[in-house]
This record gives sequence, structure tokens and C-alpha cells, in this order.
Amino acid sequence: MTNLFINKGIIHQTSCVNTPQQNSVVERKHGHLLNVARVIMIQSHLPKIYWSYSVIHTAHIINMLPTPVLNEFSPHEMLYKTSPDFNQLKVFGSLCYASTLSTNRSKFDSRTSKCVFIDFKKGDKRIYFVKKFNQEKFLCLGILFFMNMFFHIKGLKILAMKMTVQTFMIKIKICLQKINLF
Amino acid sequence: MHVSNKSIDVIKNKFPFVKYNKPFICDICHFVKQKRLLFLLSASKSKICFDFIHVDVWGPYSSSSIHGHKYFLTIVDDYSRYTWVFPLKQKSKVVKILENFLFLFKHNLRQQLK
Repeated sequence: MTNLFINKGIIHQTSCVNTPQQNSVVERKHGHLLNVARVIMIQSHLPKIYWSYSVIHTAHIINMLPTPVLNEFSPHEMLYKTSPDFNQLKVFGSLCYASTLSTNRSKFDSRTSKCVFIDFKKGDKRIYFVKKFNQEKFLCLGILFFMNMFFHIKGLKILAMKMTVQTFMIKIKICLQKINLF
Repeated sequence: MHVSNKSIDVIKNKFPFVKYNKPFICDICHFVKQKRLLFLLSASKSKICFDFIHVDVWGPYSSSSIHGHKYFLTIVDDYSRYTWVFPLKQKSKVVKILENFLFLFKHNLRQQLK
């Protein structure tokens, strides 16, 4: 570890034992991350083993949202100097139909399989999915989203979920307005 | 054992004829009631991206994720507050991830890392 820092010319500042307060920026961020990740996990009704995906997805959302610390700019804007692509956002754990590989199917096989949205692929607009029964993750391009439905809810309670999607969209709209203002 | 400094002051003001020793360092006082000092706000302020990054490992979480992750590493850039999250199986992977991270962003974003 120290060799790495010496080679790269980095000054390494450490906090004292038992004082997480000194590392306040990250600890605060952890609190924020876990709060949102918990919400995502509960509303998507996914099993707990997917918590790592929810945390990654949360980081993705937080980077797009404007914060008062940066004068209502989003971290994405500060870093890349461009506004984030909001069309790419999808609701975590939402129902979607992914097309199956044409090589593996014959004429009378189903063209799609029912999946859950889990993760983005970095630097790519392709998306990861999870299948219901064998629970295997696979990459897919041709997909149809139903962002107001969640896969794991029994009987697919659409009404209640519509609200969450709406609030989500409102948040995004606010973001867009702020971007236009500045 | 002695009375507190405050009450000594009061006694001194009201009854000037009472003699007392000059303020002394009492071991027992420090053992019994020393508190934590206040945390000052960080003075360092960055002006460019990657001037200063905050890193922390969260975990271990009691139930591991589907790929066996128990920790996650968070990297926060001080200037832009951009967050990167890397799930980890062991804490020892931190060095490798940090190394890759530094390399990647030095070359991708073409900005000087400090």
C-alpha cells in the first residue's frame, strides 16, 4: 500500500483509531448510500443477496442528482462538464422482457424471457439482467421496460408502484429544470 | 480530591483571606473526566477534480451478496463529490482496486492526480 502511494506521488492522510469523524465526507456518503439502497431494496422486493447491486445502483443515481454542496450541480456535471443522460435511468428491480439469443431458439420458442433489471454495464448502454428461476445474470440489448411494475411482488401491485415511479420522474424533472437554469 | 476550579474562583472572590495553591495539574481529574476534543471541520479544500479523494471500506455485512461480497469500497472525489462504489470479497483487494482506479482515471480523464 505505501509503495503504491510513494510510486504515484500521493500524500496519504489517515484517520486516528476509532474516530470515523475524521473521515467525515465518506462516512456521510455511506449514510446516504445505505439509506437510498435500503429504500431500493425494500421497494423492489428483491432478495437480500442482491444488496451489492442496490448499492452500486444507488451510487449511480446519487451521482446524477444535484446537491446543495455543489450549488445545485450534480457530481456528474462537475466531473464530466456535461449534463447526465437521464433517459438511461431505469428503476431498480423493475420488470422487463429481454429478447433471447436467436441462435438458441427455434421458431416456436419464446422470443423473450421475463427478467428483472439489476445493473448497468459501465461505459455501455447495454444492461444486465437477472432471470427468475436459475438466477443467472446476463447481458442484454433488446429489452422492453415496465418501470411501474416490480418483478417480485405477488400479483404485481401496479397502483402503489406507479406513485414511486412518478415521484422518481418528478425528481428528474426538477434536475432538468435546474440544469436549464444554470 | 479537591473542589473544582470554578468553585475555587468563587471562594477566592468572596473570601480573599482564604489561601490556596496555584492551579495545579491533578492526575485524577484527567483520569476521571477527560472528554473527547471537538472535531474541527476539514481545512483542506480542493480546486480541481482528483486533488483530494476520500476512501473508506464499509463492512463486513453479515450476509454476503450473490457473488460473495461482504465489503464495499467507496471513493469520493472532494471537488466533484462523485462517488465510486466497488464491492469487495476481502479487504486485501483494496490495494489492487485503488491501483487500477488511479491508473484508469489518470489516463481516461487526462487530469493530473495528486
